Amino acid sequence: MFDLCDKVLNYAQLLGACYADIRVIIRETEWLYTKNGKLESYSINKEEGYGVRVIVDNGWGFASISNLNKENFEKVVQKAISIAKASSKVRREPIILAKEPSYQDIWSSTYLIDPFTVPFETKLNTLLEIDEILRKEPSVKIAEAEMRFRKEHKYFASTEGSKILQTTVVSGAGYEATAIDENDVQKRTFPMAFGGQFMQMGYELIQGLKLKENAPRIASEAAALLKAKEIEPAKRDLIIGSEQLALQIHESCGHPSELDRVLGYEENYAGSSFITVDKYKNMHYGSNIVNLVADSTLPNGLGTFGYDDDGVRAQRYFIVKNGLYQNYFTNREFAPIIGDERSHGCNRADHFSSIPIIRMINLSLLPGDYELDEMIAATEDGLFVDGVKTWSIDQMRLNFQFTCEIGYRIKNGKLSEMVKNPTYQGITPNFWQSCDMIANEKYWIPCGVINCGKGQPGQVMMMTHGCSPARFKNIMTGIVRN
Amino acid sequence: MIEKIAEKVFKLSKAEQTEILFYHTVDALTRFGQNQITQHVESDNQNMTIRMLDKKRTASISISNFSDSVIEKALEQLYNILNLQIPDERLSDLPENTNYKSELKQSDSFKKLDESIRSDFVKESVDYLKKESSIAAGICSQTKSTITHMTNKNYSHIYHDWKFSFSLSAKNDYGITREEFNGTTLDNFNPEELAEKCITSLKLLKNKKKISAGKYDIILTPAAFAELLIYLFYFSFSAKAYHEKRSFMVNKKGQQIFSPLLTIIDNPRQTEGPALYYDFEGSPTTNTVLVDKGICNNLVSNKYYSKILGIPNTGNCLSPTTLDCYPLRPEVLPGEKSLKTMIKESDNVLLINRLHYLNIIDPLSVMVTGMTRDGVFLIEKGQITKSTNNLRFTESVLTALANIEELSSDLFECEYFIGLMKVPAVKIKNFNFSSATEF
Repeated sequence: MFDLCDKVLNYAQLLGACYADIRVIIRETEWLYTKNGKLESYSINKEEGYGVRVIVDNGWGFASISNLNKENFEKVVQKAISIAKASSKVRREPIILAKEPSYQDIWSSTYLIDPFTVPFETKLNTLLEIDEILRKEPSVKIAEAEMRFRKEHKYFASTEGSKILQTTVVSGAGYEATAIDENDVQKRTFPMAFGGQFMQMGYELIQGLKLKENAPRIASEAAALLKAKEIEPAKRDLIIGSEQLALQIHESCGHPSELDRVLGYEENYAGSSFITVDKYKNMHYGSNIVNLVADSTLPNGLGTFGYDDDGVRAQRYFIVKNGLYQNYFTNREFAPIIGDERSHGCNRADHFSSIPIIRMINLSLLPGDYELDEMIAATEDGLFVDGVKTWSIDQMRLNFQFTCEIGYRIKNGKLSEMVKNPTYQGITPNFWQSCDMIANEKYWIPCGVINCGKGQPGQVMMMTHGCSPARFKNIMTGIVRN
Repeated sequence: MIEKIAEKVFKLSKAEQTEILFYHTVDALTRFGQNQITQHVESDNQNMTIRMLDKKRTASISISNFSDSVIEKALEQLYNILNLQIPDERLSDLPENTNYKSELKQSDSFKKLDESIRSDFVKESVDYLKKESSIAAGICSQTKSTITHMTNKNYSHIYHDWKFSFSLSAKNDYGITREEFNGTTLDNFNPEELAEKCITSLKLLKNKKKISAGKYDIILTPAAFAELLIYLFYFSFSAKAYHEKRSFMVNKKGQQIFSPLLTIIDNPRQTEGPALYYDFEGSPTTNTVLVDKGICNNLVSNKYYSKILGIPNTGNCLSPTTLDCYPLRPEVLPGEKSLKTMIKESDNVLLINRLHYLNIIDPLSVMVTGMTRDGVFLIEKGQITKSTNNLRFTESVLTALANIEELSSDLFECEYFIGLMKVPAVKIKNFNFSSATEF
C-alpha cells in the first residue's frame, strides 16, 4: 500500500505541493440489531479508499476517492492541488505546521478474540436471549439490542517522510428497554445509551459486560419509571453517576478545549468556546479536586492510537490540573498560533473521505478519595442521576441542560424514591467549581462515546471518558416550565 | 458500469430475490473562518449495498470495491448469513417490473460550480464583511448524488439529488449573526446580499438588554422554525412510531391540536428540484397532508405498516429492513403577511434568528430543549430596538404549534435531515424559556 502512497506524494510534489499527506483506509464493520425477538437489521460493510491533503500556494486542498485503483491517483491529486490553489485566494495567514519528527512505525490496538471470527449465531443468540429477558417485563413494549464491530487498517504517509500503519479493532454491545403506557414512554439502557459500551477490544469485551445478568434490573427500572414522578425544580446537591458524568466531561470540557473552536474556525456551525486564548493557563476551570487528563495512550480507549492524522505521536497531558486550566486539544496547524511548539496530537478524521480536524482524544476525570456511600451519606437534600437521555449546551459551551434516564432523591443521607426525567442545568465553570466530592478509583469506569459529531461535512468520532461519580453543590435541578 | 455490476450480482446470487442500491455521491465543501479558507474538500464516494431476500429471510452487505473477486466473495458471505437468518413475516417482496429514471434538472449555474467559483463566493462575502470591520466564518457547499435501486425482478429506479448551501456568520465586538442560502439552484444567490443582511443584523446587536428566563411571545425566522419542526417530523408522523405508541398522534389523530393557521404537507413529488417518485421499497411516493389547518389526520407509511394499521401506503419507506418511514419533503404552507410586516405589527416580541443544539426530553409531548443563537432581538412598537442575551428554551413543540399566531408569506428552503424543507417565519405566543446564558 505504501507504493500507492509514494506515487501520490511524489506526484503532489511534482505539481507544486510543499506539503502532502495521504491516508489509505481499509475498513470492515459488522452490525447486528435485534428488536422484539427479531433480527431487525444486519449489515456488513467493507470499504476502502484514500484521502490526499496538500498545501499549495499557502492554501489547503483535500480530495478523496472510494477505491484503491492505482490508475486514478493522478486525478485525485490534481483535484486536491486545484482545490488548494482555489483556497489560496482567501488566505490571510501563512500555514506553518508545528514541528514533529517523521516516523516509520507499525501500531496496533490490543485484542484477544477477533470479533470477525466469532460465529454470527453466537452473537445473534446473545442478543435474542437479552431481548427475551427484557420482554418478560410486561410494560416493556420495545426491546432493542445490538452489537457492532470494526476493524480498520490505516496507512499514513507524508512528504516529511512518515510511513505509519495502524490497525484498530473496536467492539461494542448494549441494549435498551422502552416501557410504554398510555401516558408516558420511558427508557433504560445498559451498559450505556447509544448502542452500549464500546472499546478498542475484541469479542472479550462483550463476554465481560454482564449483559444478560443486568437485563432483569434494566427492564424493571424502565417499568418503574412509568410510575415515577418528576422532581420539582429547585437547587439541590447533585451526585452524577459515571455514564452521565462522562457526557458532562465531553460537552463542557472536551469540546470547549478544542483549539479550532477557541480560535473561531467552528463559529458558523458548532460554535466557539468560553475558554478563550486569554484564559489559556490562566483560568479556574473547576474546584481544586478537579483533574482532567487527555490521554491518547489510554489502554483500550476509543481515542487511543499510535499517531494522529497529522502523524503526531500519542500523548498524555492535563487539560485541567487542580482546577486550573492547562492545555487545549491541538493539531500541527493551530498549535503555533498560541505559541505551542508541538501539537498535542488531536488531528483526526473519521473516514478516508474526511479531512482531519481537531477532535478531543480520551479525556478522563481522575478519581477522588470517597466511597459512593459516603458521598450519599453526606448529602442532606439531593438528587442522584445517571444514564444519558437528553443533552444540550450553548455555542460557547456555557449554559447546559441534561436530562438523565433515571434519578433518585437523596433525603437525609439516603437514596429515596425514583425520579423520572431527572434534569439539571448550569453554567460550565460555576458547575465544575461546585464539585466537592469525587468517588475513588474503585468506581472509575471508562465510557466509550461513538457518536461525537463535529465539522462540515459532518464527521462522527469516537473517544473514551473515564470517571467516578462526583458531587456538585447547589445545582438547579428539575424541568423549569415557568 | 452499474448495469454491468448489477448483471453480475443478479447472475451470481443464489437467493430468490436480490437487490442493489448503488450510491454515488460527490460532496464538495469550502469552509472559512477568521476571514480565510481553512478547509476545502471534495470527496467522490461510491458504495453498493446488496440485499438478498429468500423465504422471508433477509441480509445485506455493503462494499466499495466492485472488482469481480470482491463481489463474488461478498455474495458468498451474504448467502451464508442469509441462511442463518430468522424468517420475518413483515418483509415484503422486492419490487418488480418498473423502470423509472428521475430527471436531472440542474441549472447551468449549479453545473458550472467548482472549487474556484466557491472560493470566489467566499471572497466576495469575506471582503464585504472586512470592509465593515467584521470577521467572517461559514461554508459554501455543493452535493450531487445518484441512487440506483435495481432488483433481479426487472425493477430499476434512478434518483438524482443535488443541493447548494452557503452560510455566513459575521462577528464583531457586539456579537455574532448568521444568514444562509439553501437551494437546488444558485440563480437567486448573491453572497454580497447575505453579507449585507449579516451587517444589518450586526448593527442591531450594539444596543443590548439583559433579559431573564420566562414566557415570551416570539417570532422565529424560517431557519429557527425549521430546527423546531425537524423534531416533529422525526418523532411523530411515522406509522411505525404510531404503531409502537411512541408518537403524540396515538391519542390525537383527527383532533384540532395545532393552530388552524398551520398546514403541513409532505411533497416528495415536488416540481422544482429533485423529486422522489418511488421510495426504497419501490412503492410510489405520494403527496400527503400531514397537518390540515391544525388537524393531524395522516401518517406516513410503508408496505408493512399500511397493512397493519389499515391505512394507505404513502410510499415513505427509507429502510426496507428496519421499516422506518419519515416525511420526505415537508413543506409548511405560507401565511399572508411578509416577515417585515409581522415585525412591523409586533410589540414586545423577541425575534429569534436561530436555534441551537436541540434535543428531545419527552417523545409524547415532543418536549425539546435548546438554545437561541446568532441574534435575539427585541421588537418594540413595530421596530427592532435592542438585542438580548441568548436563552435556553424547554418547550413542547405541540404547545408551540398550538400557540401559532401568524406565519409569514415568504417561504425559505431550510436544511432537513434528508434534503431540504420549505418553511415560513412564525409568530408564537407564550414560548417557555427555562434559563439564560451569559452572552
